[in-house]
Amino acid sequence: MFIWSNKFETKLDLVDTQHKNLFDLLNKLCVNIKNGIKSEGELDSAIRLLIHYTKTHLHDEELLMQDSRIDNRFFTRHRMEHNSFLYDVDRFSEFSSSDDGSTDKADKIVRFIAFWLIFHILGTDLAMAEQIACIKSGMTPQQAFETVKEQKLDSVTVKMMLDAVMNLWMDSKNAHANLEKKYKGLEIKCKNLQEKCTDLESKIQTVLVETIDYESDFRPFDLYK
Amino acid sequence: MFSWSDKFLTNIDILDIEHKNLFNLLATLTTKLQLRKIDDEDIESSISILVHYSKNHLHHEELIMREYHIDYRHFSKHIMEHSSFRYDIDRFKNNASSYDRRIIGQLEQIIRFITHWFTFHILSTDLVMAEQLALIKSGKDPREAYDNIKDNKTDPENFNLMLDSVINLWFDARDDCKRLEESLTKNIDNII
Repeated sequence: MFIWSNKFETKLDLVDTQHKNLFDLLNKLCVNIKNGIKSEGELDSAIRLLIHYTKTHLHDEELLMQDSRIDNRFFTRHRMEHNSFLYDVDRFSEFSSSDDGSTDKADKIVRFIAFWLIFHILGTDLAMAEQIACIKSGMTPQQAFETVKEQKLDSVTVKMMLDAVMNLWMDSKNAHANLEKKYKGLEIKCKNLQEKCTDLESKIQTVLVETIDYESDFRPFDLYK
Repeated sequence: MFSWSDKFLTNIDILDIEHKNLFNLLATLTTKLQLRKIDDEDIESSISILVHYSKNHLHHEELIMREYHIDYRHFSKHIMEHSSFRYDIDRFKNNASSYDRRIIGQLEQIIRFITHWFTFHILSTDLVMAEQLALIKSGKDPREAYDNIKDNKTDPENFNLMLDSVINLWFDARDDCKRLEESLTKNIDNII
């Protein structure tokens, strides 16, 4: 379960509402996965909805930053993080489709989105919110950027981030180990396939040779005997 | 890239010496790599020295924990982290996982991994172990020592360092995945 706390609050209504909704979606999915309530199709569409909602949210955040004329150095970095997340999410649907069961797949993607969100809200969105607040109170975007850059996170926040990133790291490592297994399996299959090919080739060769032998022996007369 | 500081001190001589040696070795190799003053043979021996030295060190640590009969709850968790390190470091030598078939790429990967892994491990786990050992040495029961430390107060600065190294470990693991996926796709395309 992913528990919301006021540590996540950005004090930007739109952002906070969307974050809370995402937590709700993630938690509901968690329960459904654990209890096996939903069918494969239902699970699939729930995941698709989650991804769609997350993408919309990231897009809204980018619009908000542009509206507030946030410093470009921050905006670029923030958008890069979003893009890297979107890339990863798309890869999930591409690479875990065939052998993993759909519950397993759903579980992995829910974990990824949740831990990434926790990490991203605490590490990046809060810095965005502070800059927007500074700009609203009259600072220039550059001043706001410099002020927030100096600030340090409190240790509870850092601990929460640490926990989330440790999970992301572990999951990446597991994904890597699974991929390696697939890779090795593929290599063996390739080898077998090649052996079969050479085997087949030599069989064709002998059949060809036999046919030629047979044709040279063939006398039409024999048919009528 | 990385500097040793008193934050890493466990106050157990042999462990501190080994940690320092390891970080010195990493720093020397990094400089050599930057100046390109290293040939393939050097690289190969550096990799085996690094791997050998770090594994040996983990073994020493485990012996010390056993010697003082540290509480099993800590011991089992600590050993598990060591095994996971051994598993990961052995994987680097595996061709499938190394993106860079050049041996220099392998060394770079291993240096990054050992640096971040040890930074994280010393701060998160070794320091907790050291505190328990100190209590046991002063006459406390291992179980009491464990219970005393459980809610220990880690220096907030350390959390930032830990966070940085785990972020790096995560990014590297993610990049590894990407590369493996790319070559998987390529292989599948070749077959078809």
